[in-house]
Amino acid sequence: MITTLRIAFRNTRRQRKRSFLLSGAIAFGIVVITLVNAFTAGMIENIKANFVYLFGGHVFITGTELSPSGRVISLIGDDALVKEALALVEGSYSHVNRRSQTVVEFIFGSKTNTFTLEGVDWESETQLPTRLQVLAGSLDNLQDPQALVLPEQAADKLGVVVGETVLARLETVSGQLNIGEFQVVAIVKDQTNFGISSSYGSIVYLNELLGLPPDGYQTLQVFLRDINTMDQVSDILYEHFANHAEVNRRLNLNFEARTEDEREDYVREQREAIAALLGGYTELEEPWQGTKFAVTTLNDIMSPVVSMIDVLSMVALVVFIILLIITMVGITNTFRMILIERTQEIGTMRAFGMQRGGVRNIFLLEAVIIGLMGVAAGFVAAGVIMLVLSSVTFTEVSVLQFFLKNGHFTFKIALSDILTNIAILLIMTLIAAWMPARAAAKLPPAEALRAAY
Amino acid sequence: MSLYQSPIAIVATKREIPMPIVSLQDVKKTYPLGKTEVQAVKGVTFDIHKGDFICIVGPSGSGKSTILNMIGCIDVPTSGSVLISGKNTKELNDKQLTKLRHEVLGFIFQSFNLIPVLNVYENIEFPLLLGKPTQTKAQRHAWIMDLINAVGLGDWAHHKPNELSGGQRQRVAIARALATKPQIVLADEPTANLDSKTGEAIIELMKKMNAELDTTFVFSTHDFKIMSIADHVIKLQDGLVIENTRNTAQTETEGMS
Ligand SMILES: Nc1ncnc2c1ncn2[C@@H]1O[C@H](COP(=O)(O)OP(=O)(O)OP(=O)(O)O)[C@@H](O)[C@H]1O
Ligand SMILES: [Mg+2]
Repeated sequence: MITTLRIAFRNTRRQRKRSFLLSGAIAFGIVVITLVNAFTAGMIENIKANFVYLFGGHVFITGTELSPSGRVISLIGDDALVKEALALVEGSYSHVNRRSQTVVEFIFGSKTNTFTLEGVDWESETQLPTRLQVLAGSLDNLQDPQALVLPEQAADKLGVVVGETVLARLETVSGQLNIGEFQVVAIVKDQTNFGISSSYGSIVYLNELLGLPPDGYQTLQVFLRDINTMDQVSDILYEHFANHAEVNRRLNLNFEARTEDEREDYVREQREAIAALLGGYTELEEPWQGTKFAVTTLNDIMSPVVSMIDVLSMVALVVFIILLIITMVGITNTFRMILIERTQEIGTMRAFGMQRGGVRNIFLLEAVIIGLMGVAAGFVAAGVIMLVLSSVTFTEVSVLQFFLKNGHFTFKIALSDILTNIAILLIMTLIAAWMPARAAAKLPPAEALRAAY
Repeated sequence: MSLYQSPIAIVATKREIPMPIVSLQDVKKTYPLGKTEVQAVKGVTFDIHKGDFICIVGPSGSGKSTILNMIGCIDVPTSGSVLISGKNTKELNDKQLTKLRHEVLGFIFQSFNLIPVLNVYENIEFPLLLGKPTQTKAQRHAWIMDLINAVGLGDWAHHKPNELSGGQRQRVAIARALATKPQIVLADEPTANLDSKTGEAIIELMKKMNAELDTTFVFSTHDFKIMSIADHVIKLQDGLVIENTRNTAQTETEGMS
């Protein structure tokens, strides 16, 4: 066996250029698949993290109620059931935020700018001020109901500085126009990397402007300790709401595996679910009492993104396999050539008593060695590329920011993916070398030696 | 008188009452050639005895290589039988033939056929690493060094074949052929790729090993000068033995089958 290995290894170095090309082709395939795998995995992580910022949390509880006039409004008026439900998952979450939010047109002098205003309960959300990076003013006087925290971008557009008063034009839940008055107490750094920043005000004042009860809120954001418990926690919450109140169907953006019949129902349900999540107003099908709850998770929102990325991974896999097949054809042809070149040598080894299996193993081992060298080179190259790419900072391209972490590409490599790819590669290499190896083993010694005569 | 009853005398008489290690009986070999057939060997019968130094001569195409291949268990006859230490090669499968080659035979080729990726030492070691080991590592090493020195390549052990001259390569080939201590070494035109002086030296070396190790050598050649070194000459023509001569004591001419 040592002899076989020694000969196989030295054979790979006989025509260095040829071995180099084959290994290179394999390395290229490994680079492609590793980069795509690592990149997409990293991207999903980043998108998730960015979504957590954007939506504020991992699980969201929203509610819709019917106003006395029969209008559907986004509100959780009674917190009791929510508290009950949360008690069931006590310990799985680190904290929850109760928020109202709306899109507001801010007016300062002759300038206007429209963005989201988050109604925050500053008393309970103690960790939010610590997370905000204050550029001007301070976060000490947030008790003032008219206090407003503006993101840098919005303050620039309005040309407003700390201490000045801005007007806020918004629509109440019953669809009427309303004007509020806020005082800028702080200007903070933009919270998200992708240009969607919120301003923060008091939830009590915002509720008043929206025409909601002062102790009501629109969204409960749940921050989990472990992101993997997302579906489990949301199931428990949903179950509790479903047992004690009206609920909206869970959001399911997974469009696969649906029959023609199911599709119509599905589209209607999802429209309701999305409307509930975004606080929109759907046509009223059947009136209900109290709060109609909806539970949505980051995974639900992410699922179309994830399946898009899955498609990308699939495409990469197909490209990888095509590359491999081309490489395999190359390997088969090369080993056919090798078989002809070394016929006399095979005859000699057979004459001295090497069995057929020995000849076959020399061929297969040579192929495996070339394959392994390619794999090793491929991983090194992929590692270098990842290192270089992740050290580059992308600050300008804002669309890209959604896939990045603080302006950097991040890569995530799963050991199982690596092992799978190595296995695929080695098996394909063995298959490619199998036919020539068998032909070499079956060569009658007399004929093989005649090549030398 | 008592000398004739001693064991030594019995060995000495073996030449007269032969127990052949190779025996060819009415051996025929035909090769398919397109739709017709070529009869390369047309019915050959002869024996080879232990310790012989036999030369097979004949013009090109007379069947020398074909016969050597059949003795070497590289090929089997179309009809008739080749017995190697009493075993009929026709009854053995590929695996058994390979095993027989490994255990009983050694080969020297016209174009040396050293394994280019292995150095001199490794080439000689190669046959020893096939099959089950019969020696310790130290014994093996000592034996290989003995062989290298015996063929006069003590300083070349770690050189690759392409760094050697033709004569040196053929010396390595001789050492390799002897590595497993085979009973028979077959050499098909071992001097054809060498100049006549080197060729003669190679045959002399083979003769020396034949004498020292009592290994049977069978070689083929065109060269009459080299032929004269052999103690047993078999002349072929058109696939038939036309002469079977012992150069030494007595000259016997077997039937031209
Ligand atoms: N594999 C084969 N297929 C067809 N014909 C063959 C084959 N091997 C040998 N022959 C034919 O058999 C005959 C004897 O060939 P062989 O090689 O034994 O001759 P040779 O005495 O060794 O000749 P040379 O001195 O040229 O080596 C030749 O006519 C040759 O063409
Ligand atoms: Mg010949």
